[in-house]
Amino acid sequence: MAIRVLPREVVDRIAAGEVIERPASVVKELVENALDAGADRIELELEEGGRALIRVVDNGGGIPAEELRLAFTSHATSKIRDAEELFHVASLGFRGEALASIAAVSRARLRSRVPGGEAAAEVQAQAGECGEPAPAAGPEGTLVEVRDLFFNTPVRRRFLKTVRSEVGQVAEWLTRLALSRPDVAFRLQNDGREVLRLPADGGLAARIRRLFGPEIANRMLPVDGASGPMQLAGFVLPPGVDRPDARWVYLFVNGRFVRDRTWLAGVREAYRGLLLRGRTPVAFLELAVDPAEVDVNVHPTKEEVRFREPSRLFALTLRGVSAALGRVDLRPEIHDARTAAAEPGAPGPRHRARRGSDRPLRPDGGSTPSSGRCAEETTEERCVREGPELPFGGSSAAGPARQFLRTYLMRELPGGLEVTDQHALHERILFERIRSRLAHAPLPVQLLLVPEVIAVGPRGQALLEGARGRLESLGLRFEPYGPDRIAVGGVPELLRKVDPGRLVADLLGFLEREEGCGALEAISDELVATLACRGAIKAGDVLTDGDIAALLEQGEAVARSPFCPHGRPVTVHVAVGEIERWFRRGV
Amino acid sequence: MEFTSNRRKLQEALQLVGGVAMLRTVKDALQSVYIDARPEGLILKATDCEVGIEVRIPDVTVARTGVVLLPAAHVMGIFRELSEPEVIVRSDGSGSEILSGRSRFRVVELDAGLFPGLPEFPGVLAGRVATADLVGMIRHVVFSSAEERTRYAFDGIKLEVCREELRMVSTDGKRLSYYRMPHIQQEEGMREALLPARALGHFGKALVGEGVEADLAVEGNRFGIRSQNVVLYCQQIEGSFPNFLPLVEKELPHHVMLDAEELLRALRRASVFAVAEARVVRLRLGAGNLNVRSNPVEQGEAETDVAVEYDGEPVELAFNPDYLTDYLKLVGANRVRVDFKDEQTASRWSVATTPSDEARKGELLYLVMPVTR
Repeated sequence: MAIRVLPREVVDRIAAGEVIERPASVVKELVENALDAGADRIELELEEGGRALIRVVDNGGGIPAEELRLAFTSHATSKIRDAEELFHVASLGFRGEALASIAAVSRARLRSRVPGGEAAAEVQAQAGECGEPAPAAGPEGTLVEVRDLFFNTPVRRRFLKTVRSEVGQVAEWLTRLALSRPDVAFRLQNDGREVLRLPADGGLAARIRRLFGPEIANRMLPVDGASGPMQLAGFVLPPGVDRPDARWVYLFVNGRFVRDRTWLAGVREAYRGLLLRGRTPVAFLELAVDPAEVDVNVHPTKEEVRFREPSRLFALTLRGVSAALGRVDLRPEIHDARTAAAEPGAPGPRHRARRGSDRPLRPDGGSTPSSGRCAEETTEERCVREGPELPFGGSSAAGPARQFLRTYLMRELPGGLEVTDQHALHERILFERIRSRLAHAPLPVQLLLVPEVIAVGPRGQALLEGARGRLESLGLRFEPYGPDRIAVGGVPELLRKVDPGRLVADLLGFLEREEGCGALEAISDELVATLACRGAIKAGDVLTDGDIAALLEQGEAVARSPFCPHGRPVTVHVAVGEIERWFRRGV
Repeated sequence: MEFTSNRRKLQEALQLVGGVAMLRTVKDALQSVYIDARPEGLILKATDCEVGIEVRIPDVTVARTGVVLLPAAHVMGIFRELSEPEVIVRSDGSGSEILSGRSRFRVVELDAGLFPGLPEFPGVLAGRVATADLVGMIRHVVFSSAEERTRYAFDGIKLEVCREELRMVSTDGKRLSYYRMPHIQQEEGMREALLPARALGHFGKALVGEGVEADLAVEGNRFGIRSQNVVLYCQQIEGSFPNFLPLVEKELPHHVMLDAEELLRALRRASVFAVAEARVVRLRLGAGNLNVRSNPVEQGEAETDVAVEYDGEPVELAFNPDYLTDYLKLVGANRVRVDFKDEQTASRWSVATTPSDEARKGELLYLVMPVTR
């Protein structure tokens, strides 16, 4: 087949395919246009989830009648003028493609009236062919109607999902845009029914409350920080309000929703050891940065951006989010009855602010819940007495601990009962100790009299070889032994009692999961967690009273986090109020 | 069945026999003690299927012969609480009464037919050895075997019976005990066995003060020890014991002579700061002096100097102090010779023989791997 230049309409459809995938992409482009036009009220109407109709009405700056036709032309935009400006983009869009792409795959109508203009004008376009502008009646601002999306690209139309799913996608995009601009009022309707109504709010916190409800909003921890040209602000949620995916990590650069691996990694890093493996926190973070520091012209939908200094962003995020988490007492607590009454339907463990001044932000200005008063007060008293850095606080006032089911340690604390998982606690203690030790020097190695030969397979051998530096600093000595085995000549002294074969298998399992990604620090931490887990007492181990006391005491001295390195809680508190409720006392 | 016995003798026998029954948690019938009252005395038996024990108590007044099978834990618990000099045990077929002083216990009997019995004593005699020597030998090696059962062959103790020597060796991979003892053997050839360390440790206790001589026997995978009133059985461990001789006989260029008790004291002082997560002490050798110090940790540090015979280059060796104290406690008040090469190689510890104790029977060579950074 001879090489030919493609006809324009084909080119247009291909280009449209990159930007316009489904109704949600139309909505995103049109709402971004409306925001760029300075609108502070945007209304969206869908029919059949956007298949039949998408209508976006704004009260922004409008388009003069003589430019209406141009708006549908590819690479026509008012947002930048030359290539130089491409590197200082302050608006959401700049490619001049959105309307042209939409018009290429639908029947579109554009009506606009500039403020103070005498009348509106409108123009229609269909499958990329644009008609002549005609006078029309309409308010100031712009209306865009997109009908019969993909009517001329039936394959793509077939790929559309159910109405509900498409509406969900639209709502998700609208959520992102609404989070980036809390000062703008939004409204979304589908088939005449209101899906979302967001009045212009005072700020991000209020907008989050409206979008995600009080359960999220009441527990948000404010994040802020700056580094060089970067300003970070926003909110994160404590562990316990986490998710299996990263969907609720909302990241915005200069008001633009983005997905960025480095940034997300920074957030995750701050939660290291606080979440179960595979869980992702909930976060709303905004970065204000000189537009010259970030390249938004990486991807047609602009979801991906490129930072000039990604490591600065990583460090800033890690520091800011860690600081926010560090200000709260992360000890999980079983619901106090009165808390439950105050906030019906509150799920999961509650997390308590340690000091009054550092309570999670309450955007509505309300006081912190009057729930759990007794436990709250004693926590504060304890902190005053023993300093704020004792996450397992209160041994001086604690009763003797008893072992329960050979797994849990229970003791009385002022204000309640403390239940500790012995393995998780010991694991956490060892983890912190090994980590602090590693910061100074490599771990001591117990050399073996007879090297232990372990079959690991050729791939395992290569993986171990690749991680040799880290493994050696952790105290493992090994040499390749034939093509698929290794000879272990030394083990971490700490783990002298652990079977080298099991240790290597554990380490390999980790290396396999993390192959090709993950920061060096993360690998090291994970290896330390593996060491800690292997070395820790197990559930089912019988402990003497002396062991128990020593363990709890060590926990208080060393443990920073109330979670084991794999993210399971170490200690749970049952408030007196909860116990009283069981027995119908004092409620 | 009914008999009257010295309480203390019966209690000691029950502890040995019951200890075997409780070695592992299996069926009820295995966690029990089988008592056979015969005109010539009592025979107590227990087994956990891999290990078996039989203890005879000759001087017992048997009023009525018979057998009973009693739960080991209960019987041992009862005897722990008794203090009177005599005890009467009387069975009526369904339960046994244990009478002592003004106390009376009744224990429900198990069906004696459920007791699996002990294997036949292995028929091939491997050697005859003084019981006291055998006890000492076991004591000198059993501590070096692996505590856990994960490295299976290391859970075992290797016994070698040669024509002129009896050898036992054990290791947990980080240290190794090699004990050898002169021994006159009639038959030609060498016999060897790989024995479970826990069983052998128990055998050592059972043989204390027991008779003059003991027979060692091996047949197939069975191993047995028989002395005057105690018969012990176990199955050999499957697996191959590491080839230890090159390690033991390795040429080591340097050596130091020191006093075991002094070093033990210094190690104990340094161990105050050998915290659980890094049990390490550093031995810094200089001319005539050994500096023993803890690995510095957040909590503090400790050091002690010990006078030694050494004229080589300064060198620092690091060890898990437990591995050294285990050995030094066994050695007692003796001069010890330590042969070593460098901080990466196993050092060899032995009692420095002086002409006066030529008569001493066995010799322990102890290898310890160092700890490095």
